[in-house]
Amino acid sequence: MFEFSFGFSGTALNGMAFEYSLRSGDRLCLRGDNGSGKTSLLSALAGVPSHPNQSAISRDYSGDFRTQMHFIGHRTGVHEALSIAEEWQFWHTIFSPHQPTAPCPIQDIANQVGLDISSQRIIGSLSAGQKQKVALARLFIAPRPIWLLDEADHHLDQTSRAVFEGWVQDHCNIGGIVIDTSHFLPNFGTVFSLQKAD
Amino acid sequence: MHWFVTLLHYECLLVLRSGKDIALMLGFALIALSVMALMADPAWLHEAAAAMIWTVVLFSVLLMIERIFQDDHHSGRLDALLTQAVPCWVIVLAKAGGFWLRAGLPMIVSAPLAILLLQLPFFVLPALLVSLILGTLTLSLFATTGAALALGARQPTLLVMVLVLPLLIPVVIFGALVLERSLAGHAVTGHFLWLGVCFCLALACVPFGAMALKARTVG
Repeated sequence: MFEFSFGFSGTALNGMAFEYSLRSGDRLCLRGDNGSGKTSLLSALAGVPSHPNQSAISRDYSGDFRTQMHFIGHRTGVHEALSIAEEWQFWHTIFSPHQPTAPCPIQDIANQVGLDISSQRIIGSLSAGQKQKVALARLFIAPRPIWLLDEADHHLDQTSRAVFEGWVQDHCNIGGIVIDTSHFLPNFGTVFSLQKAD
Repeated sequence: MHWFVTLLHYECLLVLRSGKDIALMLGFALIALSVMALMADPAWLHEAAAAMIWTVVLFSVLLMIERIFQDDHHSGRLDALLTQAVPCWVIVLAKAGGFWLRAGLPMIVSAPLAILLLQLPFFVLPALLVSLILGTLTLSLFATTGAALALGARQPTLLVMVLVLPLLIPVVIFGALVLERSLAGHAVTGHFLWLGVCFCLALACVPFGAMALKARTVG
């Protein structure tokens, strides 16, 4: 169980000021049309602003934010020349600096995200949805309380999207906080609608 | 430290996976040197060999410089790494290592062949190898720092050339001097020391590259 609070405030691309204070178990869904600034807001929140006008976000969080959150961006950062096992082992080592030689439980994670890793294929030969799952597996490689997900359900099929919603639900149930963007309506959580700048 | 090892390990893995980069560089070096060797007068070859080899080295660096951060930047991997607690200087050093494997190592491997092609005496090989190792490491550090500084610019290639060419040229000059002097039978210790100075200077530039990566993040 996680028990913490996380707040942030700033100004969206269209000039609207916002302030959110989230507690363990909350989910905030950023929704809005294409170009309304969902990705810009989320990447600025993660600390790597993708839009020059969207950098003024202040976070209210006690602790080292970088080691407490997962950010899976719109561009997921999966390396296509690696195999799934290599990719996960890489992130496992990056996420756990205190035991760098510990092997990543690759089979468990594969079961969790529903990927077949027996064929040792490189990620570049997988389908878009499978690549997305390879990226999402980072959420389970290291348990962290805050998830920042930018269109994480992108490319996922109907069943996988339901499974993904289940992950989010489970994460909130154990006290995590999820902030995500999507073009689909969420099952639960607060919706934060962004408007396009005029 | 383990971050550096991990990142470098994956750079090696990626270089091996996409063997075409190394093959391209080896092919480039061999074709360029063969053409020069075939076209030139053998007597003149002896005098121009040092300049030829180091021009090829410089071009191989310039050929690959744009690609240092390109893949990771486009795939979002760089941003994903930057949101983690990995220090930026570690990323720059590991990228420089990867760049050296792609652009520097093929040049070192092809050094004996260069000596054969350019009809040089084999006793210059040790000096050539040491100067190439030191020189390519220095060039890699400068190139990676420059690429980090130019990241996200509208014309990164142009900017990186303007940034790093003045830094690369002295290395190339000292490297070429090593070969020329040892061909003439002179001592080259002084030139090795100068190459060492360039290497230290390149290391001292790494924080600027790290700063450029750090500037991509907030909070």
